[in-house]
Amino acid sequence: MVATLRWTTGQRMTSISRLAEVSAGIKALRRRLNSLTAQRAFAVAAAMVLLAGAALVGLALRAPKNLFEPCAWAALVAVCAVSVYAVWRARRAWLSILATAHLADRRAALDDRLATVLGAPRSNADSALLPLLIEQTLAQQHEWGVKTLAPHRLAHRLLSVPAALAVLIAVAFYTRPAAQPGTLPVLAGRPEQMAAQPPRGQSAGQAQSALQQSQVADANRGAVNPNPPGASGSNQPQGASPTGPGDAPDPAGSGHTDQPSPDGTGAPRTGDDQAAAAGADQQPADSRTEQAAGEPPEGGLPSMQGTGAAKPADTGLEGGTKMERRRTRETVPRERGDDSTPGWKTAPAMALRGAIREAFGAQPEPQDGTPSEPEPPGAVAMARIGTSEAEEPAPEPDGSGEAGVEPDDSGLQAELPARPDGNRVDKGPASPAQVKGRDAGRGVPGASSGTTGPGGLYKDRRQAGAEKRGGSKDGEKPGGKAIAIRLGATSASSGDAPRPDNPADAAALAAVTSGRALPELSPEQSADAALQKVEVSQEYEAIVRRIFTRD
Amino acid sequence: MSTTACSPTHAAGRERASAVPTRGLDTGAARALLEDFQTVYTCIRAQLATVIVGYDDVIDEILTALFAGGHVLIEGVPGTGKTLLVRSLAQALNLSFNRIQFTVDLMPADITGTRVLYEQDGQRELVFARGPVFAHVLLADEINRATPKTQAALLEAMAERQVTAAGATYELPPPFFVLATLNPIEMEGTYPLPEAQLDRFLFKVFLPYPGSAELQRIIGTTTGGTLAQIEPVFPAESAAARLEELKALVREVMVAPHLEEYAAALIRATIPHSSKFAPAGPALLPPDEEISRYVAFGSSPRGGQALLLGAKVRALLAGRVNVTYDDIHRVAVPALNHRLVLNFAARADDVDARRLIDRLLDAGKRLHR
Repeated sequence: MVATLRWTTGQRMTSISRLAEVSAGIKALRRRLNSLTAQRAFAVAAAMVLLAGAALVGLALRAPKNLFEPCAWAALVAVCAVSVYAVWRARRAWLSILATAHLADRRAALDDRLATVLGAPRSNADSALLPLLIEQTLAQQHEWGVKTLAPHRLAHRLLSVPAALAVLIAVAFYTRPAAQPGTLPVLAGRPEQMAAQPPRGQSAGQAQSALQQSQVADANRGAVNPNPPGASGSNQPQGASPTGPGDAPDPAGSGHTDQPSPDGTGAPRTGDDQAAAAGADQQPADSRTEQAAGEPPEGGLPSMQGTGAAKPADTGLEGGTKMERRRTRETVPRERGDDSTPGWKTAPAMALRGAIREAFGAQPEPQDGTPSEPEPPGAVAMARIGTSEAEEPAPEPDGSGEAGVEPDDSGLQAELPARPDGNRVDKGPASPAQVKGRDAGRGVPGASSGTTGPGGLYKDRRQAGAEKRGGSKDGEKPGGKAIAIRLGATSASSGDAPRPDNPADAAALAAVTSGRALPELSPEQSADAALQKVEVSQEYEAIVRRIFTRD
Repeated sequence: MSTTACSPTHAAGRERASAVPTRGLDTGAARALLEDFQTVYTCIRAQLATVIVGYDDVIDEILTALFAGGHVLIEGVPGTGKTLLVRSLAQALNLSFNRIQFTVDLMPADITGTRVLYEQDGQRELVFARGPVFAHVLLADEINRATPKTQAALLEAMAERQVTAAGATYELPPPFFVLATLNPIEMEGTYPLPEAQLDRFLFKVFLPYPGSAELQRIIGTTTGGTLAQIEPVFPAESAAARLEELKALVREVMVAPHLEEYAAALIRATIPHSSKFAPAGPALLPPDEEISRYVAFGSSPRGGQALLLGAKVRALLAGRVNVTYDDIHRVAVPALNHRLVLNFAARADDVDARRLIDRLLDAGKRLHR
């Protein structure tokens, strides 16, 4: 009887053909399941890429520049991590034939019949019961077939891709920049006239709207300004008081507005640096305070106490002393907020940000000292012609900070990007050394951290007007001292009038008068375009010359 | 001896099985054999249930070992029906049955047989007188009371199904099924079975005290005027062949490769990893802390064979021709509990081998899920 359980050749052939049928069904199921696995992995990775892209677009268009870089790297890391995880999951979920049989056994409650059938050639090839097992398996094929276990060709998770794409589109739509104003006309005349004249490509209503917006912001600044304009003999103009969270009002009222930037270069601090500066600035004995106080470093500059100068001319215009240059080199990276960040890490993120902004037509932002985005010398440089009193422009109406002035190679003051958070560079109470230092109120570009002093920049004509209204420290020549011209700061920094025979001044004047194309300004700066475009008439030039040659 | 009430069904199944051409087996014949197996099993179980009250699990385990072709070691207190169970099984199978009461003075020849001087027609010759081991069903009662020498006399019979006496080897007629009993009390003067002999038992089953309901039925049915009688399932002339046929069918049941791997992993997991006999290489199941602490020696490969053979029987009883995880789990405890040699720490902590096996099964369930 035992012999009856043996196979015959014909039965074996029949069984093999039916076994191939089962195997084909399992292979089809395996293809479908693995396809779904791959689709899920792709969906996760693609959705993550799109979501990261949405976040970066939003950050590039709306967030401060210094926030974009860490977010860009974080997004890159997140995308890579999620992609690797998706691939890892897909690899783990990738099914072999036997694994597919196990899965089908479990889902269709086949009691391991499929796995046994497919493993039969290895261990049960001679079993007399194999035909019965194959028959039982095929009889239940409707329970383990592709149409039952994996009816869908596309994974539901693929829906996350269009969902993420929708998020990206929505983010891009809601964060896209507003329409850019056209190139502003070059105006001649007084600043009041310039304010009344809308920029080129901009209607009078738009200009008025921008003006009103700026006025509202000025009013807001005035609310938080602890130092009223002209109070205590301060050289601070209205709204020039510290506005940042770590700022403290000047207790002595002596005005520390001409406190130089930490590096003495006039480069504005970025948002990252402000956190560090908030603590560092509260230590009056630190190096920056010493520098501002006119404590001459070794072989340094003579003290210019009480002169109101922001910085000696040689430091800002002629490149400064070796000490100043060294300080500049040491401080500039920190000013950019990436003191420990190598260029290879920063450049791609910034390039990506620029690309995004360019793609969405956003206004390009000049990068601090970045050679890739040079400012046209004299094109946007503005010097405020003032007296020796330190006058500090108010922060940006939108809280985006103040534009600083830093010397460039030509001796002109280049307009620096606005500080994102609107905080002033100066933080904490000013020490007397800061006030009376060599840089105090001299209006030297670069020495005044780009925010204060005569070397500082008025981005807004209303600031100039406010200064006129508030007057200077001694109240002399109200409204007549501060006008904005497109002029290099060479003369101001040196305390002399711009000389046509001075090559730097000549270049600046040529740039100013030639109507060279201005770089695109931020929306907040667009209102200043008219001021920046102004062409100085001979009358005002004579005034300027008188002011700078009054001695 | 007449056949039982199960006979018509069984006879039909036998006819179908006999109708299978000797050249091979088609699916219809295979299905008939499968049904025949289930029918025979059900009939035997029903016959035993007329005499044995309760102990359904014990009966299942004994029948599983019977169809798997193994031997069973039954451990239970006296008076729980061990001898009755085995005798009833032999009657139901309509097979020859012998019983050996093991005592200290029992000699190996008392089991295997010996040569005796036989005189016939004035001629004297030495003739081999077969011992009680020559039977289809052998009950070795209280096997732990015999000396190791006598116990060892069963080794060859159980493993090789043959007996060697006076230089001659005698085959034991199939089927050969040994059921040995152990008395856990009165341990003085007993000789615990050596591990080598324990390993030759496919299953070790425990016969606990009956429950209240079962006890009431036992004392009621055994003290009446009429005693239940066992009716054989098979005819006497074909009982052995039929049983061998069913045993052959059991071996045809298929096991998937991953289940073979799982059974091997279970066996591997019974071996403490600190043992010097532990195999090298990674194990499918993680090492169990209690196994390492309480087990001196793990299961041998015979344990794996017992797992799969028992699982195959369970698969046939479930109407399947392939083994599943559940089949293995159901037979794991009787197949492995006597193969784990526990150390003194286990005795001190009153750790039972069945508890350790349950831990392994839990780990295995987590693994294959």
